[in-house]
Amino acid sequence: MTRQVRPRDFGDEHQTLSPLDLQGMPPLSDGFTPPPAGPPRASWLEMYDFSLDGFSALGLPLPQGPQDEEQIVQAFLRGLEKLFTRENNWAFLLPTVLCTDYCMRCNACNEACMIYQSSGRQDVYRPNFRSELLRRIYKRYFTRSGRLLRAWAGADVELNWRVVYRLAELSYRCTLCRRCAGTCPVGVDNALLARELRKLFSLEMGIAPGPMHRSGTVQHLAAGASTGMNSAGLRDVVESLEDLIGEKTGRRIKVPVDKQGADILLLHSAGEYLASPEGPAAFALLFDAAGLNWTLSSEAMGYDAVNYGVWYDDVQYVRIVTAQLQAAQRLGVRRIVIGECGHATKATVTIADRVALGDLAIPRESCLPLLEKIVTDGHVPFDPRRNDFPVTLHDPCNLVRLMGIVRPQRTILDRILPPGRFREMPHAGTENYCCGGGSGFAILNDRNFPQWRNAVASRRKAQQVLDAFRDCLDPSVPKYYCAPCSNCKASARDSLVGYYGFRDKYNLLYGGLAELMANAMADLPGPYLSWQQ
Amino acid sequence: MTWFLTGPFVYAAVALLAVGTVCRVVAILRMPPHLRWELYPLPGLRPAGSGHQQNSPERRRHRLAEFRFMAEEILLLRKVFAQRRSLWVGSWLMHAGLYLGTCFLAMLLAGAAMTLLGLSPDAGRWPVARGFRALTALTGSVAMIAGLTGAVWLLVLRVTDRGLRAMSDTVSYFHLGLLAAMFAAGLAVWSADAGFAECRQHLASLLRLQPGTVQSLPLTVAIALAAVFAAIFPFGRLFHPVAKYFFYHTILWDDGPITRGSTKEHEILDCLSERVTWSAGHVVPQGTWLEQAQSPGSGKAPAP
Repeated sequence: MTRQVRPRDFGDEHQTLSPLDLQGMPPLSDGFTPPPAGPPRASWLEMYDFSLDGFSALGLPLPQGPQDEEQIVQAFLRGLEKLFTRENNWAFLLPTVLCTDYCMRCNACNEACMIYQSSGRQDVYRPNFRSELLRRIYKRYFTRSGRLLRAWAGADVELNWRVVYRLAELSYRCTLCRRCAGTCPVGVDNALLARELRKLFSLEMGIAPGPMHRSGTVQHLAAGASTGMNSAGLRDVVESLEDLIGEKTGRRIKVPVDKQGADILLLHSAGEYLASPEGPAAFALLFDAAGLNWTLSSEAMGYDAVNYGVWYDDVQYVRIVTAQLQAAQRLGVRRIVIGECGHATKATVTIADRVALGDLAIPRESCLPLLEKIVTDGHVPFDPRRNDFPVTLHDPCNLVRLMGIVRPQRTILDRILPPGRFREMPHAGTENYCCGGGSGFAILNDRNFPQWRNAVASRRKAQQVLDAFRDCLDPSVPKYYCAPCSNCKASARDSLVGYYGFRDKYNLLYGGLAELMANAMADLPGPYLSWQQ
Repeated sequence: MTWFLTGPFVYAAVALLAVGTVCRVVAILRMPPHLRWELYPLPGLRPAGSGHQQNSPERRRHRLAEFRFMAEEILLLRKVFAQRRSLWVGSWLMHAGLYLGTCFLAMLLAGAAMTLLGLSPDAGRWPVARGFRALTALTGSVAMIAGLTGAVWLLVLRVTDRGLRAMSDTVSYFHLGLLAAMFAAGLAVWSADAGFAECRQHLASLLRLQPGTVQSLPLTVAIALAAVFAAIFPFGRLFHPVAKYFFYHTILWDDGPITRGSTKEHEILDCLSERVTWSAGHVVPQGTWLEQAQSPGSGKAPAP
């Protein structure tokens, strides 16, 4: 049992408040135990704060003296005050206030959190722990009862720079999957408060992970895509997609770009074009076969669906979604369809619903119902026998729990797989577990954070995959992990394949839904998927 | 002192309960519109499911299913049952005590009103009056027993369970202690006066606006503690049953797309003209949300 950490202990002067022992974690059902993490490098320790759990997502520079320390505390207090004001946070003020005021401290949410459970129940990873810190600090510094009665009013966290830094890191120990919110009897959403904390740190203190901000949203707005790809790059990518389709299928199709007045503007995550071009290529193949009137855009902001702002910063979020919609507006398309990318779909379709007003209110939708229509309306012939291998489906949190898109992907699998080949994971549908790469974790690869992400955040997904394929783990049986989300696929690459070794041990291939559909197209000369990739 | 605690103090508590509740609800209703943040599954979705998987603005739901979900959640605490059975036992008993206690209070008030009309259940010889008195006593006694058992159960759990102890604050213990004391005092009243006759008489005097002096110590304590509970109810987390309505109906179940020209659209346009005072380098200083949205940002990367 690890040392107990209570909210009021959060500013204690331990070098590491809640050290995480990776090897002390319970093994997976196949006996896998994480390799030892080892201490952070001495050069990192000299520069950055690792005092929460021995890991660093943010790379917070250590303060250089009491003046720095005081500035950190004062900036945090300013930000906390602004978080509860209409002018700075109208978009989430009601949920933030209600979630801050009405938690009953029953810990019902704890059982739902994969990070708390997978860590061996470390106190600091309770989903309500960071929310409780937020509440107690707010009460201590911004309410009369807290200022007067302190601990007697439940305001027992005294601020120092360690509290602020640890809380910043702790806001990046939650994947914002919102599974806990579904279990709260009152309706409190701890993931929302984790996101509010991230906003406070970014918008007031300029603290955000580099891959999310500097080489994420800032680069996205400057170059037109989060990957830094410009318009010419997009046109090169499209050519290579056409070549890829030709190589895989023998078909030479023309991928439409900048087609004015098209019915559909298809927006993929730009990272897909580079990391797994088979996905966008499969979309092109399917849309072409279905005779859809569609296009890609080569205009800056018109060819990258992602919006990292939704994870940490409302200003960056609204800038990106506005620019994306303006690009679509200039192209005169009737609707925007978001490819297989969960957070982008939620950001552009659901959350933008109350931001995209007036002329920017272009209809926007997930690709999954459209793919379902392609399968069910019969124009494209599919032969399920071409997918004669076991398949399991990962439910991306953003699409399933946060948008309720559960049925289309299952209807598709039902039509493109032979009977008995599809197996649900335990806890499928809206009770799913995050892949471990949610809320930007999949792109946070600095310092030792990937070790934490793979060992803790992705652990439950690895166990789910083992459970789903428990009757056919033998590597002689090829098997497919279908993850219709760019971020979830990146997580599968790094964790399931890279860290847990499922490709080598179990012959597991990961990919999207469109690739699986393309693989079942009856009039293609051969398979689209290859286990030899 | 007894007269004050069981008279003016009760009036003040009721006034605080009423005014506090209205103020809190109005404050919530006057909050600015928020962006969509629903959570699935939503109760009552028709076979087509979420609006996002239909690709149409059709998002009708069975309202009866929402009502049923909420009724089961309020009466049976289903989510707590699903997550933590040991917590559910105490929590359900305590909530049952509060629900029955509210019914008991309503029955006492009805009895007091009947007394004022000359139809006192305590003096009545009709079977209906006797039945009403017995039902009131039964409701009250069950409420006290359930409430006390539940509150003590939760207190013990909060002290002995490592996780609950770590997350509890002073207020958590205070609320449970207050409820346990209130139910215990109620039980003491019942043991001394099984028909709650003195209580009914005192309520009648309160309704006449001529509060009498309570003779029984347990009744004085019970009334004072109930008044404290009522007075603080709207001002802290005890208000969660009311807040719960807003959590579910205005946040977690709010899947309605915005419509052009609606009141909500106008409210949002107002909000977009609010001036942002966040200090980070990438925020346009003092720019409105509309200006932030249309600005590509400074491009400055924040530290580190």
